[in-house]
This record gives sequence, C-alpha cells and structure tokens, in this order.
Amino acid sequence: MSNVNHFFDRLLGRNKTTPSSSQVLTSRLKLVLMQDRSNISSEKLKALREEILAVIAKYVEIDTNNVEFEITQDQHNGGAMLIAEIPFDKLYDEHKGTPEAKQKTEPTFSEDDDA
Amino acid sequence: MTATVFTITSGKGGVGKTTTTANLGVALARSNKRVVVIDADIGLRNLDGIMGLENRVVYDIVDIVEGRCQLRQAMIKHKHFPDLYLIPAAQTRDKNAVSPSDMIKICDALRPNHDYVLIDSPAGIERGYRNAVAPADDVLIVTNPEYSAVKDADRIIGLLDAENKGPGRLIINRIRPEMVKSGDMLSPEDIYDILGIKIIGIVPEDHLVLTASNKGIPVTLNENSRAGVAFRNIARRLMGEEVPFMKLEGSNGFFQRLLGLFGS
Repeated sequence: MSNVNHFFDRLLGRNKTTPSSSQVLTSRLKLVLMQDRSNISSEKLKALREEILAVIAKYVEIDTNNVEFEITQDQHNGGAMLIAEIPFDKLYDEHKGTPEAKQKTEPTFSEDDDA
Repeated sequence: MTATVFTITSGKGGVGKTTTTANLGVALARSNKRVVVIDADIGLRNLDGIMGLENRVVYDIVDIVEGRCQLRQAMIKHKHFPDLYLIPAAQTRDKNAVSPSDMIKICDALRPNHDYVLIDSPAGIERGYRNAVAPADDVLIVTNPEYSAVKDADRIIGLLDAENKGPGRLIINRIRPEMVKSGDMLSPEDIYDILGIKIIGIVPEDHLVLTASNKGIPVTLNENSRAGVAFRNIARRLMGEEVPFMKLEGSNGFFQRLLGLFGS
C-alpha cells in the first residue's frame, strides 16, 4: 500500500526526497546565471583551475579525479563566489608526512621546480 | 502631453513579444489612449498580421528612415480603434537599415500627439534589439517559465542595466497553473527569486491566444479569454492603476500571495 502511495506521490511530483522538476530547474538556472553574471569564461575557469591545482600539488598530493570547481552565490553578499573542492589523495592521508619527508631530502627554492 | 515609450523584448524568440505588444496596444486603445505600436523586427515583419492589418501595409519604417514617405503615411490606423496606429517593419530589408538614433527620432516625433508608444523588439541582443531599446522610457521583458527563456531574460536585464535602461519589468507568459502546482513548472515566485526584477504581469497559457492570432484579432478583445484579462490587467498597470494579480485556477491563493510580494 505504501508503495502505491509512493508511486502516486512520484506521479504527482509530491515526493519529498527527489526534488520536483521546477526545483531542479530553479537551482540549475541559479548556477548557470551566476556563472554568466561573474563574467568568467569557461576558458578562464579552466586556466584558473589548472593553475590552482598546480600550486596546491606542490604541497600536497591531490585526488585529481574528484576535484570540483563551481561559481555559486555567496550567501552573505549575494555576489558570485568560487568554490573549489580539492580532496587530498587518500594515500597521502594514510601516510602522513611523506611529502614533507620528500621535501626535506630535496629542498627546492628555485623557480624551475621539478614538480 | 507626451507619450511614454515602452519596449517589449525578451532575448529568446517565441516567448510572446509580438502577442504581448499587440494585446497591450489594443488594451490601451480600448481605454481611450492614443497609441502607436512599432514593429522593430525588420526582415521578419509580423506585428501587422497579428493585429489583422497585413493587407493595409503600404509604407514601412525603413521608408520613413530613408525619406520615401512622411511618418504619418506609414502609420496604419487600426480597424476598430481610431486612436491606435501601427508602424510596420520592412519585410525585405535587414536590421542595419535602421539605426538607434533613427528610432529615437521617430519616437520623439510621435511623443507630442500620443499617450503610449510600444515597440516590438526582435529576438536576440544585436542591432535590432539595440534599435528597439534606444528610445525606451521603460522596458517590458517577456519570459516563459522554462530554462532558455529565463536565462535569456537575465542576459537582457544585465544589458539594460549596463545601458542605464533598467531594471525593466517582467511579464511571465504561458504559465500553466496546474503544472506549477504539481512542481513541474517554475512558479512566478521562483522566477522572481532568480531574476530579481518586478513582475508586471502573469499571463496563463490559453489556447484562445492561438485562435485569436489565426484571425488577426488580439485575444484581449475576447471577454472569455483568461490571457486576455491578464493582458488588460497589464495595460491598466501601465496606466498606473493598482490591479491585483488574477486568481488562477487551482492556485489555492498562491498567486494572491504574490500580490503581497510584488505590490501593484
């Protein structure tokens, strides 16, 4: 019986767990318009992403497959905000200190880093 | 007495700019206002047909600009409303045949003898759009409750702001209350939340709009049409009247709450 109710809820768009199509569209539009309004082209965003990752990768190992960048709305001032989700590599978490140890043995201060 | 110039635009095509222009023109004329509607969509002339005046076109806006006729000669008097005129677009020319300053000159010449000038903008954000917006005192942005129409409306709002023509007011066309209620269509509240400009009209989807355009008689002249009522209400709001948003079927007072949100 509850399955039947569930079915009708879905049919009528009353399901609380999955957002209605209008809710999905509202959030899609908010995101895409935030990107439009921020005036950052996708090429620029791509370059930004690569440079940020390159800098961070100098210090920690990154799980590059799960990196996410998005332009979204800043809840405080209503303007655009860049959110970068850059998870560390799992292996790095488990063997804390490895990169530091590496750095100690090979200190690099010059610009032509081995990276 | 000097006319107020309203430009009706949208970014996206097919959202109902021409329908809106024709209906607001007729609704204002019905309230005994002296109105001129201008079709600024050069190369894709349509406003004449929607108003049932396609067989009366002799001169067009490009003829005015290029000096082949007087302004008065290109103004087609409406069949039923002697104070409603149409200036048609040229069908065989392109948008570059008219400049923004030409449009300003034409509107300035119309201002002393009319109450309202409505300009039907072409879709897009290029020359035709700029022509249409140049003389505007106020801009009405038509949108539909769907992805591309809302996204394009936002782009227009940004452009208007940059040109100090903003913020404009929003007309949400083709709302289907039953789909809004079931969560399958953006509500006017959702759209207001996304775009952040004042809503001046909410027009329900109505099959009578199509049959009206088939006949060249704007739907607002049909007393049974809910879209027609919505257009009349927008015209009244343009004239400065406070008109509550109509209660749409099955809305449970939802649209009445909008009234509190958006005022007149």
